Amino acid sequence: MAAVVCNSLILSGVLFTMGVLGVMVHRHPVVIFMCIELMLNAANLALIAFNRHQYSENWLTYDGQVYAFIVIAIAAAEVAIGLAIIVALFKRRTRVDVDEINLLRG
Amino acid sequence: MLNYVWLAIAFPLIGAAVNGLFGRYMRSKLVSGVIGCTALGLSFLVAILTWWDYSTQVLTLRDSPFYQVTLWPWIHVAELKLDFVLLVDPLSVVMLLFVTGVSFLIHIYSTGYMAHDEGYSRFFSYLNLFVAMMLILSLGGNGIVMFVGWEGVGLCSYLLIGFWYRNMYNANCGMKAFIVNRIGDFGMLIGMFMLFSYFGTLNFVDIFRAAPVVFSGVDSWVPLAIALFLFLGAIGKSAQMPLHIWLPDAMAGPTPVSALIHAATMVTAGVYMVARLNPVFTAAPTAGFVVALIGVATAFVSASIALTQNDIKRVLAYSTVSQLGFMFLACGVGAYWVAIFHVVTHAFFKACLFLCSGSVIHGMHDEQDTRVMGGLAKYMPWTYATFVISTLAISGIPPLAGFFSKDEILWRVAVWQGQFGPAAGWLWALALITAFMTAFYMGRVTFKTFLGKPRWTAQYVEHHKHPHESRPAMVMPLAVLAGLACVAGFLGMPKWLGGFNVIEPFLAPSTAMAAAAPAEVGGAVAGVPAEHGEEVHQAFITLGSTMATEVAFAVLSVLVGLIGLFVLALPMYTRRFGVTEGLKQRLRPLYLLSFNKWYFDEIYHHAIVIPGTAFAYTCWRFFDLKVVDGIVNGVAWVLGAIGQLIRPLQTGFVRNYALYMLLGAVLFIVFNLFK
Repeated sequence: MAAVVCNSLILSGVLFTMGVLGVMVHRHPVVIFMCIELMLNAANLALIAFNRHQYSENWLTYDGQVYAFIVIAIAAAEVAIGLAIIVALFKRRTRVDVDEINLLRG
Repeated sequence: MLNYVWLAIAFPLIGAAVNGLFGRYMRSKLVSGVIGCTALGLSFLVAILTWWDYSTQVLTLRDSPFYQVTLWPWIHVAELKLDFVLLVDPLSVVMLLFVTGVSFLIHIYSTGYMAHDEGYSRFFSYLNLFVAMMLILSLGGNGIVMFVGWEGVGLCSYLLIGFWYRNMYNANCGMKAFIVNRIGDFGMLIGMFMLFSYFGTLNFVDIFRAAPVVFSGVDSWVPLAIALFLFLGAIGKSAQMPLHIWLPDAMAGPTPVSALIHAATMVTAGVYMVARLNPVFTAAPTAGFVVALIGVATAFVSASIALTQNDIKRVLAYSTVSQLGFMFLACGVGAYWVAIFHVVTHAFFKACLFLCSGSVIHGMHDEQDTRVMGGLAKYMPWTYATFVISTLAISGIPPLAGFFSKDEILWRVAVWQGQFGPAAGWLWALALITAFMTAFYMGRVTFKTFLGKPRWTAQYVEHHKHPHESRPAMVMPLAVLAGLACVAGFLGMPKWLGGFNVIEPFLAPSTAMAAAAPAEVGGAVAGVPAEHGEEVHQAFITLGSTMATEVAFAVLSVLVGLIGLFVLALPMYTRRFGVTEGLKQRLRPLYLLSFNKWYFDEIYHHAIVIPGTAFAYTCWRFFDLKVVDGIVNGVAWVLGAIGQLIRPLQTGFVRNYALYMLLGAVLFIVFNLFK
């Protein structure tokens, strides 16, 4: 495996773990969102790294990159909705803390 | 015309639809009445034309007296091939004629009787529907078409018994009739299923043709079982013991209904069915004996009940049950044409009696109790005259209709031969006693109602009311029916009176198939009717019974009738009125037994209704509430419990969910790595 692929995957893993921990630890929705974006981009990085790993002169593949674009597009859409929800929450409450939003508790 | 015999059914059906659907928009009662009567008149016309065509074509039809009209293919499933087929043969032609004829008269009568009723068009709709169903029953060419009519008349009977449904008693009587009939219908259905399983068809003509062959190839219990199950149906419909209890209560309906359905036509459907399927009954002599036994027992018991009833309609109802018993007695001894003959004559005089009682009830302002009548002859001369004629007819006084048919039944019973021949004497004796009781109770009700001192004065004078003769629309049918009751007997004059017997040779192809059977199977020619009558007569002569004995028997039955009517009933209820009070005291147990209808209702109440209700209650209590509800509630409880169990997982904290997802992902990876 090429060094660049290996390093990229390690970086991707680090970024993903940071994202997960961020989601776990932080309470502010905007920060949580940023962490989610971090995880998505970690995944994008991994996809591109794997694409590089697959790529050869005999097999010109761009599957990973295409997937990365799809993920970006979906992430954009998701952010739009997510931010809308957060704005709506801000309008109703002065302080937004995900731990206080627990109306769906069973 | 034979191909258009369905018109006889179609006209009343159309009448029923028009009156039923548009009756409420008809301002004038006249319109409903005219529609109802016209439909029946046309139907009667079709019946006459059918009869005429059949009689004239019978020579060309001789190779088969059964003319089948297939209207449309109906149910074709695997081996079952059922068409909606009508069968025109002597038996159904006779039924067709008298059903439409009597119905027509009763429709006319109803226009007068129901004139003040608000359910006028509804009444005519039901009545027309009834006639249509009765004709489907009579003309049905296979068991299922017949069964459609069979159930249809049951439905109409239920609707008409409970016609004044706002009164709970009437509605209950209707239900009683329906439920008791249901027991019989179940037997009839099983009989039909058995017929199908052994014959592979339900078409009557095919069954007639195949009966000797099929029945000779099976154990003797098969025809016996089929016959008894079919007879169970007949018991229910024709109100024989032990299912006779519904008929007296059916008198809750309007009187024309009692006359039409519960005296003249529907209740004779059982007799008709037995006569229609006579090859089955002929193949099972034991079944014939059972039929005769139940017939005579019913005749005897219900006649004894009629002796002490006070309600004029109730006496007539028990009299009907008793006469139906006579018809079954005739069927049981194999004299099917006599049974049908009695059906016809009985239809005339019993319809007349019921219509007269309706006229009395009308004239007495809805009073039915004979104890407060008396002396009505002066006020209702027409009703009185027709009632007396019919009473003489039912008592078997010559030359009225009842004499010929009833005497023929008694004679056939007396000379019954075969496996159960030795019992014939007992059957005959019981039947003769019943004939005597018939004469007595009919005399009792006649004289109590129309003769003697008026017993209604006190109560009537206060209200300035007095009995009155009914309107012409009601009197005219009475006169016609009484006239028919006078002359109908001459259709079947016995041999010793010159042998001008029209009805036996006419009916023979349908009702004497056993005699004609070898010819039927071997070739195509049915037995020649006239010869058959000759054969029977020959058999009697070889038995040692001569015409002289037949005359002696007839004289005996007439004497019995005359004694019952004029020697006993006439003085007891006119000159020496009140003499019966002493008799009541002296014969108290017998009187109570008769007055309480042999406690049949009470026995059923304690033996069936109460245990049935208790059983149903127990089932509801334990099965419905515990088992059924338990299963349903149990499923709901288990699901709820599971929900409670995993409910704490749903904390509502987003980060908890994220943690679960993480844990899930980790578990997934670990599982895949160390698989």
